[in-house]
Amino acid sequence: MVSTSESSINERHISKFHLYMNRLKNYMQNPQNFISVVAIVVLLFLIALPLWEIFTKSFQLQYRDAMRIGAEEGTGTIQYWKTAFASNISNAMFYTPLINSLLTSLSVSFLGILIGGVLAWLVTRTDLPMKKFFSFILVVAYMVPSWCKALAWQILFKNERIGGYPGMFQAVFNVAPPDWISYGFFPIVLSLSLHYFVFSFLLISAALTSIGGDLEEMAEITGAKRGTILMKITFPLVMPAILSSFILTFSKAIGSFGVPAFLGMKVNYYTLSTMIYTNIRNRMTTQAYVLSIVLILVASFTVYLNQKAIGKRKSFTTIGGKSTRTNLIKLKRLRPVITGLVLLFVFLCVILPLFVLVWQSVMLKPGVYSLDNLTLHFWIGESNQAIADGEAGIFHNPRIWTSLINTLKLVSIVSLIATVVGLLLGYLISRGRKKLSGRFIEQISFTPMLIPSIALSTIYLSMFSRSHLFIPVLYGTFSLLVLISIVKYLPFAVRSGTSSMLQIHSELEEAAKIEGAPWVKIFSKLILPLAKGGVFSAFLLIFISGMKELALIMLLVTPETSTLTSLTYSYTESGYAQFSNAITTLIIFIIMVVNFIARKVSKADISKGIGG
Amino acid sequence: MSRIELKKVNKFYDKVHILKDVDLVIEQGDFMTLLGPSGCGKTTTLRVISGLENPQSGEVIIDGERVADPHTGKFAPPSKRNLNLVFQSYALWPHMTVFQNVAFGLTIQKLPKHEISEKVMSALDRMQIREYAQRYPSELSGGQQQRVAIARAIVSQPKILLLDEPLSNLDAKLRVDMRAELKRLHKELKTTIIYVTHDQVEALTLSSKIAVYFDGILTQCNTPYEIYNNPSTLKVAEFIGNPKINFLPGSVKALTDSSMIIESEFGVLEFDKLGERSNGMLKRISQAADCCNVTMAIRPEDIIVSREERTGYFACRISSILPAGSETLMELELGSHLLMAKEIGLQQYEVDDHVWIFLKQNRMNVYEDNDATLIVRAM
Repeated sequence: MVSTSESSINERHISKFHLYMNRLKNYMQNPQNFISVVAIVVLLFLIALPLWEIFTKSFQLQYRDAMRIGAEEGTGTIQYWKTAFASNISNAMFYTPLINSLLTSLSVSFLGILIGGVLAWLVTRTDLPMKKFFSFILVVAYMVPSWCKALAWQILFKNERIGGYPGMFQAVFNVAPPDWISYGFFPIVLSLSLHYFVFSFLLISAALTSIGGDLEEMAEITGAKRGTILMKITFPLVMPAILSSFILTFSKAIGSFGVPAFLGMKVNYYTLSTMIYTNIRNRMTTQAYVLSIVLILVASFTVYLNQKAIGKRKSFTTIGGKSTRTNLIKLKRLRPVITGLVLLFVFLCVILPLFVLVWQSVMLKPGVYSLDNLTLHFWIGESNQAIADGEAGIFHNPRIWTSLINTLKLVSIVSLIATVVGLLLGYLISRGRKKLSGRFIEQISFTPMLIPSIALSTIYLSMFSRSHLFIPVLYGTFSLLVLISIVKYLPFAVRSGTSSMLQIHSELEEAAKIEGAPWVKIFSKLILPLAKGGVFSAFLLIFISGMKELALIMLLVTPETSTLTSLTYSYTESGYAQFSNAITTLIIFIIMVVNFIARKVSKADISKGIGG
Repeated sequence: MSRIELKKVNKFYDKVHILKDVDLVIEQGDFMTLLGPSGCGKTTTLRVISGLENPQSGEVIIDGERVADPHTGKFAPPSKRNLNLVFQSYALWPHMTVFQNVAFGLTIQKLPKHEISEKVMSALDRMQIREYAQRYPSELSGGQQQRVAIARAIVSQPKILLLDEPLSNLDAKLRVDMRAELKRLHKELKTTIIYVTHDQVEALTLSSKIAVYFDGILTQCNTPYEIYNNPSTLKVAEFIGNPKINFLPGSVKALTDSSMIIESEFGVLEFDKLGERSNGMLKRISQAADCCNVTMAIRPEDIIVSREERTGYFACRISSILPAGSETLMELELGSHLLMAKEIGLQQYEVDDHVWIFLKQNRMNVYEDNDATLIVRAM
């Protein structure tokens, strides 16, 4: 600091260089700016660069093809795009899977909204009994991984077409179910709908609760009939919620891998995501990039539509913030019938799948539904050459123990890091809303939302199979699984971090700044304790999502780094249904325990983790 | 000593120009109030002084040290400026007890424990909240939270205490109590206080000096007496005083060294003792004496109301009466103008009564219309 005595501004000279150095020093001394710079560099590397890389790679000859035609690897080409769009295998390779993807996703969205919407209306607006139980059990449906329902379907309706043991239906009725029931479009749509209807259920019931009954009562006073009110008042008011559940369901369904893999691939019913997987397995990597890009574009387009639609109607959803107690609609004579139907639905979509999974896991010979066929071998049996080529039961099986430990390690590390990173980025975003850096961080950390899991892992597979600057080859390592999972959950972690941070007034920080507290202290002593609640629930929700993750890590695991989900998949592939069902049961059990703890210890709410 | 000096300070948020060439000197021991409508830049000035914001040009000097100097890019952090700030929201940390809140800054400075506890307790004593030391902020009333916020700010004995609209979240009665408290605190601590408010009554009662802001421009900085009696522009005149000052348009008919005659729609007014009352600006209009449009400003309490006609009085009709116990406000129609007059005590007038008023010419300020500046001062 300079004495002011006689000098005035104009007399003091300072070189341009020193001025800029001082400015840079000031900028970087502010930890917020410093972290912003670091965050932007890291996010660019982990998100933007991979996207750019597969885009450019899709126009370059891959090694195998270059060898074949005698050109140099990396030569510019549009061959892969041509193969996808205009060649004799375009239909099998691209158009059919694309149409299948679009058709299944659209049907799933439609069916999901129908089921979710009706249930939401019943729970919020009518005198349906046992509402608390229904709300709880329907959300449990979402906690069971979607591919579990596909596995359960297989157990029930498998026919002889793909060989192996018959399904329960055939065992009981002695008639093979037709192919369209066993595989392909119909079971895929049904399994996914019974999973993703939860989105619509939660979003629409939230909207119905928030709009308050007075708007409907007003219409009743004017003499409108119940049906008219439903169509002219209620329905338009929840339209935004319906729209966003449509988009959410659609973008999730089009990226889903497990269900179409279990129910479609064996009969050559491919969607874009299973086609990408197959291409990678067949070493047609660049072809997989092309499909990934298309998948990302379709997903981005729906999210774009979503933002456009929601943006315009935002004022709509907040109407009538005061929710008055509504007079519930009396179901009268229909009440027992409707209650029965809802119970049946709960039974079919939650209890039955879990039941058949458990049952199948204790069957000595698959497909033999008799009491003397029951065994605990697949849970606690020692290795026995007579059964399943000597694979020991899951509690004695070193592979499964390794995977269990891998899974818990992976999910814990990922949830911890993602939560902390989400909090930090949320801090930068909430404090930098007016700054370019804040807006940029917000945009780029949201981007992984647009990249379906299978596409993201395709990208990481390509990017990390060679070294970058100071980062070694990560393919086959546990770190790569950690890295990709963090990136995948980043949008959710950042969103939750931002909303925690927005609740902490910046004056609380400034008060500490004035006292001379360094930034690290402000973060650890003030921000972290104040954001505690949000941090804990974000951690648990990422934990639960991570437990279910299949598509993201499928391509990246090796036998050493395998997780419970990837093991389930490989056991299913090799026909050991009992093992995969036992492991699935174990996964669901862990998820339930964590969810139980979350509900007890904090007020963490699974419904907030939607889409995460 | 702790003299604060702002020289030609300019501050932008993005493209918005918040502070425009602000020059301000705050002497040691002043109770300086920054007053103005919301969004005028007063809080920004406070934040620039505190170091929470850095200006883009100009300089801030505290005790002879340049603490903010955009010219060289050097800025001293807030904690190095020997000041503390009470936020409008109080900004009490909700997860810490009152004691921990007040002690936070001292623990950062790594003072020994017994010293911290001594200082905190004496600050709590000073604010009369010792018994709440172990409570959490959410367990306190608004007034008590306010006291904690002040205790936290004074515990490190800063030379400068900055207060950002500290009373705006309190109810009316508590606000009056806290005003007295702040005045006591200023006397006891002898620190320089800079106080931001949009409430002119607060400003007039508390301050030793007031700086009035409009749209980022520091318009007038003076004692409360001067600000009330001789607002330097029409804008300041209109902003200060409740009920509002009355404006009467007129034009200068004759001007000598000692007197001036102003003609208006309702009659002629003569101003004397111009030698004392003029502030030099008068010379400019004396060149074009009989054409100049002016605005006369008179406070409601400087209008004498009479029920009988007298010489030098103007006839009026009462259009509305607002009795308020200790005073009575009357809205009067003078020609086409509406005037507000104030009399002490409850007065028995009726709407539509005819009365005569006398405008005390020595209590009037006269502003030239072209640039709205003061040319003749009230005495």
